Amino acid sequence: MESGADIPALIARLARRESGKLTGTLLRKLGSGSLSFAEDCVQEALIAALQAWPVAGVPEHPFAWLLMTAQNKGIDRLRRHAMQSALEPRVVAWMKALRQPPVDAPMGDEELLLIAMCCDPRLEDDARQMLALKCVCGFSVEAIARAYLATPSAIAQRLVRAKSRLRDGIALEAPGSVGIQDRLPSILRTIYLLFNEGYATSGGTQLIRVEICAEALRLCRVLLVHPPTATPEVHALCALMLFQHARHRARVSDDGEAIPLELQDRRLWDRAMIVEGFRQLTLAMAGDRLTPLHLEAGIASVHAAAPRFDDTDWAQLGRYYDSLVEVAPSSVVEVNRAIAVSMLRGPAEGLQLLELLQDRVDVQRYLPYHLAVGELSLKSGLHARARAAFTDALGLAMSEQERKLIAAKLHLAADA
Amino acid sequence: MPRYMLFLHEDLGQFDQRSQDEMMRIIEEYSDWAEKLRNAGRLAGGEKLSEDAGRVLRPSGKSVSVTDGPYAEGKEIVGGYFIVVASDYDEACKLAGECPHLKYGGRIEVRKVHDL
Repeated sequence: MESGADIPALIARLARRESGKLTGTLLRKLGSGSLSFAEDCVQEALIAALQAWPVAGVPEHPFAWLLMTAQNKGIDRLRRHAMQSALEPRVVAWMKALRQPPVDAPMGDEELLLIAMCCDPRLEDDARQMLALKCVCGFSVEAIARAYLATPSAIAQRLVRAKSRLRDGIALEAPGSVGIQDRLPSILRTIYLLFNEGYATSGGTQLIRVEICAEALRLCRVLLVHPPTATPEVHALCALMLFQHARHRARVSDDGEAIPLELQDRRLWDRAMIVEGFRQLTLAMAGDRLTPLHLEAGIASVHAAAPRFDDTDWAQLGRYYDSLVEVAPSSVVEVNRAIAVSMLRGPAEGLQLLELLQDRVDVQRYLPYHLAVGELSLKSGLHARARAAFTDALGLAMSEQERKLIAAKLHLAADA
Repeated sequence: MPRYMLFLHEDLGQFDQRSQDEMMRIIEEYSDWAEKLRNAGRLAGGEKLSEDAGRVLRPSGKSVSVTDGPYAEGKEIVGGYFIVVASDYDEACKLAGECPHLKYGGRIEVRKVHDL
């Protein structure tokens, strides 16, 4: 039995872990178009728990208590809508559904249903991420606002708009049904971008970024629990995120500065996560399709496997990048490949590859390209070239921290 | 045929004390009433209004004052409105008179839409 003081903490944990399942369970009962309503009912049930549990004690089955309470809160809300039942058939239908006792054995995939619903392809990418954070991960509007560097009211508006677009959504029933599998690409993209949002070193506090990464991983694991969505590609995404997230303690200094891979204290990497990453990578190999996620996971695994930066298997890394250029060609991938090649065969060869890209418009705006050109020029003794590249990079720097880093490089190029 | 607005006045929380069974029945009564009007081609629209007091704008010197309102008591509100089609006030009142709203303590104000 929890002591009184721990109850709010317990409920906060439940809110994070169970609100997705609760909302998903109501959603299945009430059908599509009930997302806002279901979410409000769950929210009210959690508030009721905060009031009741410290007095009456924590119920034996907290989830069942919350679900029952959420249903009763829903009925109470509908009292206010009696008149509206004349205009809106959903009032009668929802009332009937909410009066059915909660199912004894939920199908266990309610959370997956909710994830699929939030990842509606009709929504913009960031709207899907925000909706998933709010509805599945139990993030507050304020927390989402901190992560996306927006005001809470702007986030609230986006959420309302997104939900109203979902109102006339297609009903998604059980996974295994065509609906959820059709949506898998959109779900994967959302989780991938969510993770990137958390992984990026710009914006938000370090705490919230780590939490977002952890949630993206959790959502991915929800997919892996259900056979129809546990595809090799999902295992690959899971592996990729595990390898990246394993480094989170080493990536940022105590005063919040980003630490590049080569300078990280690898003792701070989470070994258990890396081991789990390799397990996921093995499972990802079961498929017969090599997806960009497989290759990205492969690349991350090469870094994770190296005890020191100098031990990095550049040859293997180069092979992964070669394949990635074929499967998912992009300037970003080619810049990274050039860096891998320079590590293996020297700066001149890397520089040659980078030169092939120089006329591309997107490359001109890509900071790491200019940094790489500067770096490799410097190593090749081409100082004027390095200075020009670092100057271009300086013009693209977004943060004070980046500017400082580049200014130091520029200084180095000037000295020599 | 002329249209009539039915304003449904109600006390806030008028259904709060009803049991869930009663509530189910009440909801179905409203829905049946509307269904009947709809089948007879008499229902032309309607909306539920939110349960706050709303705002009232009044000229105040050279500016405009905005206050909560218009309800003095703060308890009674217009909970929603329906638009029905009827040949005259008598028929409009007959249609409104069958609305379960009256059974549960609400008032209905009937106003004719004034077409040009």
